[in-house]
This record gives sequence, C-alpha cells and structure tokens, in this order.
Amino acid sequence: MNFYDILSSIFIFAGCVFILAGSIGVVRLTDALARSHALTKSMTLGIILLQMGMGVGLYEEISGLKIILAILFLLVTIPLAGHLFVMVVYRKLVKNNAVIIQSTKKVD
Amino acid sequence: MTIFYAICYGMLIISIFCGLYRLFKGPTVVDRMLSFDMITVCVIGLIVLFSITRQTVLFQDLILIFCLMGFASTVAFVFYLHRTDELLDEKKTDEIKVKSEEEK
Repeated sequence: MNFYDILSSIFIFAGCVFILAGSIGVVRLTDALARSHALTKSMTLGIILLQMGMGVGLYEEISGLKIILAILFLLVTIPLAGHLFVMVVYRKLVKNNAVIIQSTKKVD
Repeated sequence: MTIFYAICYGMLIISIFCGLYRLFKGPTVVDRMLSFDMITVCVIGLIVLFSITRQTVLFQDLILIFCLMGFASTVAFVFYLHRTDELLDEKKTDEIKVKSEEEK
C-alpha cells in the first residue's frame, strides 16, 4: 500500500460522500428547482472525484486520456441537463403558479 | 481495504435508493426526470468502483457510453415535454387551478 493507493482512496471516499449528500438533498428539499440545484453541483463534483481516484489508482498512463475525456464530457453535460430541467420547470410550472403552491403545501 | 470498498458501494447504493424514492413519489414529471438522471450518475459511479476493485480498464468505454445515454435521454425528455401542455396529473392540476383561482 503505497502513496498512490492512499491518494486514490481519499478521492474515492470524497466522491462517494458528495454523491450521497446530493441524493439526500434530492430527497429532502421542497420543490423541483431546489432539487435540481442539489443534484447538479454535488453530482458533478462527486463523479469527477471518483474518476480522478480511478485514474490515480489504476497505474495506466494511456487510459488517463479516456478518463480526462470522460471528465470533460461529464463537466459539460450534467450542468447542461440541470439547465434544461430548470428551463422546463420555469416555462411550464412557475408561470402556472404550480411549484410555489406545492412547496407551501409540503412545508405545513 | 475490502471494508473501505464495501462502505463506498453502500453509499452509492443508498443514493440509488434515494433516487428510486423520488422516482416513485415525485409530484411532477420533472422530479422523475431528475431522479432518473441521478440514478444514471450513480450507476456510472458504481462502474468506476467496480473497475477499481477489479483493477481493469475495460469499462472506460462503458462509462463514456453511459454518460452519452444519460444526456441523450434528458434532451429527449425535454424536447418531448415542450410539446405537451399538461405536466401534472389531472387531479392535481384541477386542485391547483382551483386554489389559484381562490387566491385571486
């Protein structure tokens, strides 16, 4: 067990903690806008940390290129998906005054 | 080291079950789409953990394919929902319309 194993273990544990925190936020927050906020940020950071741990822990130089490609792709696509969710919620639900009523119903 | 990987698998599986809870109970369609995206990301994390524990690099193409499929499904749902007018269930839509009229 050398230095790289310890470094990859730290990365993997941090990534799993961030993904778990994002999922708890998706369960517990009140309306769809807040849920998409909780999903997008913590999921992006968690999955990037997991892939960095994979690249450090596997000792393969050539496969690092694929890991960098996957990291860049996730860094583009997950916030873009969150933006699409928020666009649908704003155009369809907020204008009909639906989201606000549901969130106030759930609080009390 | 095995216990450490077991804890990491447990965290990801708990987050998948949180996504399933929101998938069954979500009040609008957008919440269900969002939880589906979350389950896709958690499955990518499970593939990463599996390839670390097996010490192989065979599954990296699988990771790229899963990223692409999750994003493509999200874009397809959004294009579908832009054409429809009713996002909610019919009963809830009626309740909300009645409530907003009462408030006015």
